[in-house]
Amino acid sequence: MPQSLDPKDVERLLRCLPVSKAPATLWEGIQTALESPEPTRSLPPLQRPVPRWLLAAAVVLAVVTGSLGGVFRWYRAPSAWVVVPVTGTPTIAGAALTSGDRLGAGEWLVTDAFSKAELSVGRIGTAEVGPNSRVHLDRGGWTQHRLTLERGRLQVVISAPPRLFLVRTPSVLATDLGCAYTLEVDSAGTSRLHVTAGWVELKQGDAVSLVPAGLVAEVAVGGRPGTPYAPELPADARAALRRLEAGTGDAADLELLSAGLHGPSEFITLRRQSGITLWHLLQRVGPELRQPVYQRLAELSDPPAGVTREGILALQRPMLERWRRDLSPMWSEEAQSWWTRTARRLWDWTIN
Amino acid sequence: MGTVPVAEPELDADILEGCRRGDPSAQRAVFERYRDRVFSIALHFLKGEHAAAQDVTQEVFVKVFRAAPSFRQDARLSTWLYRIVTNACLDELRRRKRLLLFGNLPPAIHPTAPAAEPQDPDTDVTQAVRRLSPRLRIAVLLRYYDDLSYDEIAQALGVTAGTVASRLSRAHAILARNLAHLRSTGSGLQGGSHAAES
Repeated sequence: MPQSLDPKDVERLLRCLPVSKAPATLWEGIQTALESPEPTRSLPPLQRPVPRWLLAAAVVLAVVTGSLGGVFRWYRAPSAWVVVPVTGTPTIAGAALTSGDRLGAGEWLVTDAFSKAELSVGRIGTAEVGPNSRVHLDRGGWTQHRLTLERGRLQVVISAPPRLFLVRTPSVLATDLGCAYTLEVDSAGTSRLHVTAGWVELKQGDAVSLVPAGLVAEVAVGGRPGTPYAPELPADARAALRRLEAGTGDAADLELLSAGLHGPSEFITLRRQSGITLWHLLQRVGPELRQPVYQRLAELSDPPAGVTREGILALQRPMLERWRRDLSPMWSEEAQSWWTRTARRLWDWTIN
Repeated sequence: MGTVPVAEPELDADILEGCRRGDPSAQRAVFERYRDRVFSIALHFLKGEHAAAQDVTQEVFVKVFRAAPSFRQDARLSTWLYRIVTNACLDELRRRKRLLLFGNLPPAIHPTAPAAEPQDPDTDVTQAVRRLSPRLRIAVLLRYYDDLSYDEIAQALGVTAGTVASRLSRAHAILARNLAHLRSTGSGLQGGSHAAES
């Protein structure tokens, strides 16, 4: 392989670059051009070089705008929802429902003991209205799909970004965080939520419960959203949980509840479900019971890095959230897969 | 017939003043002084495309003469002129890229493949220079066609003298590598022949 040339030789060669003679006719062309009027622009506007950063910014802006436009268009809440009878004779505004009818904003959909109906929640899912139910279609925002469930049962399946589907009951506001759930309201207005996939947020005033798949939560009229718990929790443990939530429980109630929860030796999914119960309870008991609740929770699932006992006992929100996320990796994955589904839908919508 | 590029003294003040006034004889004097070097730079920069190099040369002088009234007396005409040459060459390159991008480059402005003598060191050097990236190429052409200093090249390119030094250094390294075969033959390393291209 030949070595490189000496730099001095390179310079010597470059100094001998041949000079080419410019054609003499150039002068005539220059004179002609000088005699003609000077153009106002050297190049037509469209042929002027456009800076690359400007092109890149324009492309990014177009993609973002197009994507947002597509997302908003896809998730726009319709003013009237398609509703079909499943069994019996549901009614809208007192008139018997027929296939293809729509429930308009401000109207009531009512089922009797023998009837059921299915609502199409825009393009984001479905809500089956069970027997003996009264459902009202509320006016929402641009993308918010809102119902009121006065009594009865709703079985909901939603596939959409969080917070696009909301159900108001006499006792609580249930906000979909990307999930499937059943929401029941009894004659006293008490709500009972059972989540089967994803998450649901229950909110009343400033009080919030985050209910993941597999757990249930109850809310009485005038009360605050209940602590989520597994439906198989024994009745005595459930009663103990209610006393602890209400601030009337003691260490014995905590023992009773712990006996009903899943133990450290059980499957991780079950332990995490019980962990979510204790995570909520931690924030609802008095300072004297917070330490033993923390201890039970730490036995079920080690606090993640950066989460300290002192921080949790002081109820520091960032640490609590970090631990909650650590308790629910399965649900986080569900959230990720939602983005994948959304991207795919956006693409399908764009090409169609 | 080719000539060895040699730095020349600046033009007389009278010629510059005449040029500013639009005097055709003064313009002609400026044209005669610089036309071959401007044309050569354009020709090498545009990889031997004669027609495009002629267009660029004509465009450069038209711009120079039109803008001459605004030319500052304290500046060197050559520095100013080479800045215009640089911009015209880069504009032409951008125009070609756009045409290539949209697929409508007419056959006439595709770079022509010059008939090269394989062992001619001048041709080897010329080809090696033409293979440099545009930024390095223009720096080399300005440096060796009119013996501009780093500061003058920096003014022409609108960069710092350090950037010019860096580009020339990179260009030298690339050329030293690509012209390594001349080392074994010794061709053209003792002063070189000066082949004319036209």
